[in-house]
Amino acid sequence: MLKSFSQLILPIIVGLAVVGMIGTVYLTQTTGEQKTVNNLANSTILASNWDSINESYNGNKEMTVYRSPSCGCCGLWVEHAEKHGFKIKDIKTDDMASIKQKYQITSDLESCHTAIIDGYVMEGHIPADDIKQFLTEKPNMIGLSVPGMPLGTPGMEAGEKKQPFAVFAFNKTGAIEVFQEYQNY
Amino acid sequence: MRNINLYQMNRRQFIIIGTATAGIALASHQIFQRIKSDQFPVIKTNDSLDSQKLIVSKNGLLETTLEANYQTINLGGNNAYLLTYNRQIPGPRLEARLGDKVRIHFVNNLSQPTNLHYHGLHIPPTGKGDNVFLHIKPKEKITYEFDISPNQSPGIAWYHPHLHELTAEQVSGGLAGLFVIRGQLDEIPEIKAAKEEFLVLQDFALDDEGNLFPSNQMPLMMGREGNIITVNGQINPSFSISKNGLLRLRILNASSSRFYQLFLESHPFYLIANDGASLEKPVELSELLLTPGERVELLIKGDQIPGQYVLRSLPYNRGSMGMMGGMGRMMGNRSGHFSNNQKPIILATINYNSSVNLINLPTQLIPISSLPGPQKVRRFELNHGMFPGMGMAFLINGEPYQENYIQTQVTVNTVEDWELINTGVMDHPFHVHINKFQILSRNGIPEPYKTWKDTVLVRRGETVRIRIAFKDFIGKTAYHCHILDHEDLGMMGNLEIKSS
Repeated sequence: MLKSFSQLILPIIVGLAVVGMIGTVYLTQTTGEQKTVNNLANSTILASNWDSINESYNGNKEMTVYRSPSCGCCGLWVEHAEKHGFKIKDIKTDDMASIKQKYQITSDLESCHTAIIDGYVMEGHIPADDIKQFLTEKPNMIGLSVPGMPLGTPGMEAGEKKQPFAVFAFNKTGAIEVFQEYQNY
Repeated sequence: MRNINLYQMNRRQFIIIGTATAGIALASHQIFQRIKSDQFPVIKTNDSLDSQKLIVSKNGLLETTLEANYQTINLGGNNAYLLTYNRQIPGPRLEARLGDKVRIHFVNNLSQPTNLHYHGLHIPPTGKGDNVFLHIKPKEKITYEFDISPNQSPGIAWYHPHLHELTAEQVSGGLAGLFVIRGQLDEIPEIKAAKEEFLVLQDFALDDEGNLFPSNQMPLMMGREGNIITVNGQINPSFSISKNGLLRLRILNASSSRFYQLFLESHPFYLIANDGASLEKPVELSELLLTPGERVELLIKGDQIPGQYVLRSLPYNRGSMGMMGGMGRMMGNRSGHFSNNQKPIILATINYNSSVNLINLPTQLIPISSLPGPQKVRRFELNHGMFPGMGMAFLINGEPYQENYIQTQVTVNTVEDWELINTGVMDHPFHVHINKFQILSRNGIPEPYKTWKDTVLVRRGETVRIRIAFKDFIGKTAYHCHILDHEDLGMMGNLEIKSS
């Protein structure tokens, strides 16, 4: 009974989520000196589906994020994580290579920013809900990664361009498994 | 309790689709099957045209048909399903001389619109010339017609599609061919005596079945790179050099994003031409970086112990974010040289053959006159970031490409200095259509030698100053990053050359 009720009201919830997000505008500068451009008269306002909270989580929320000072999409991902209640210690460094090395992030798992929470590594544009699920499960792994910078991931929203991607879990022996996959979203 | 259930539904509905264990192995061949389906039957073509690898102008006229098709190509013993001109990888080499008329009957047998860009030719950007704003629909035919200007610098140009948002997909599918203009440099005795070879470098992202990966599964932010690397459509082809002779390698990087850091065992390069224009004298180099769209001409001296020498591409880091990540699992590792640019890649092998009388390097090539001082100085800042209404995009001066907007307006027969500033985290090769430019300086340090270019690498953090004369032709054309995914994602501007 509960299930059928859920199916009925699902479209309503989605509708509400979309309306709620229309008030949000992304205007993020890639570098400090870059001007903010808003000369598109009727530009569509962007909102991200990723910011709606679908995973309850009561664990530790203190997260340290390492990123390059010039990385704009890293900053947007930080905002995404903050919207999910994470408390971010935002560390800007030009030496991301040694961060990747320290946390055993191999080149095929690399992305731009690296986050650390509860001793786990969270590499790249991972949806915050997946981090919450992972932290609740506390598996014997190093952490999660969304390699590269797929368009459409949290912090990499690009209008209608949504690339399929996977969240990988990886462990100390180099084994990698799919934790979550996103074909259509 | 109810909330949790709702959230799970939400997740299932919007997020998890597909099997849990499959990873991102997608059946891209189905996509290929779809795009070349019955709606677009393979049009019967003239077999003699398909086998013609070289088409040379006769009596002042270069006339040919070029057809863009889907075609099965044998790459290293395996079938690959690619996009081709006249069923060849690369497309046929076209050769003309100054003053020749060119007439190309183009047929689009693809399932999507396309067009032709004549990269490196100094021809009108409008009408039937180098008009990159044409949308040639599927099954449509069009005739390009233009004259090779007496102001054209002889050398290597090339042709490829240039339809914004489809450029990377079509070029990385295989659509590219050489367009060679013969002239003064070819007549220098030492160069005339050298053995001439053309090398077209292309990489293809193919799955185990030989199908191209669909664009939406490629690392577009970094710019897609292929796992199969070919020279003239072959894997590790051989070229010969005569003992005591000269080998003239004329190389085009026709890859959509891959950089090649060229290195030949035991043999320095003698650079004699860049982007289809001669230098003043040969420049000795131990290695040479060739970015997408660039061309070089190199002389190699056959002065080593006869044997086999390998031409390699050495690792080069064009961005610091490891954004090729994940491709190893996504793509079948068929050839064994999956490219992450962290290992040297074998491109070709040079074999010595019989001895000839010693040919020396030429000492002088073609003089280059300096351009007069600029009437105007402009800045172009290259980066990526969020843009209202678009989201993540590649930007020039903070703006993504907008089709119906002239980003830069210049006057014909004036000279300008452009300062190209890369404030991002990836390297960007910057290309200007129709007119070549001279590089003045990098980070304020003057270029060591004079050269004409139409594509110049602006490394991350670098400022490159170029001087450009807008000669002869008016009309709307473009400048852009030649990592073609960056172009498609917005790093392009419209350039209007207006009459004085």
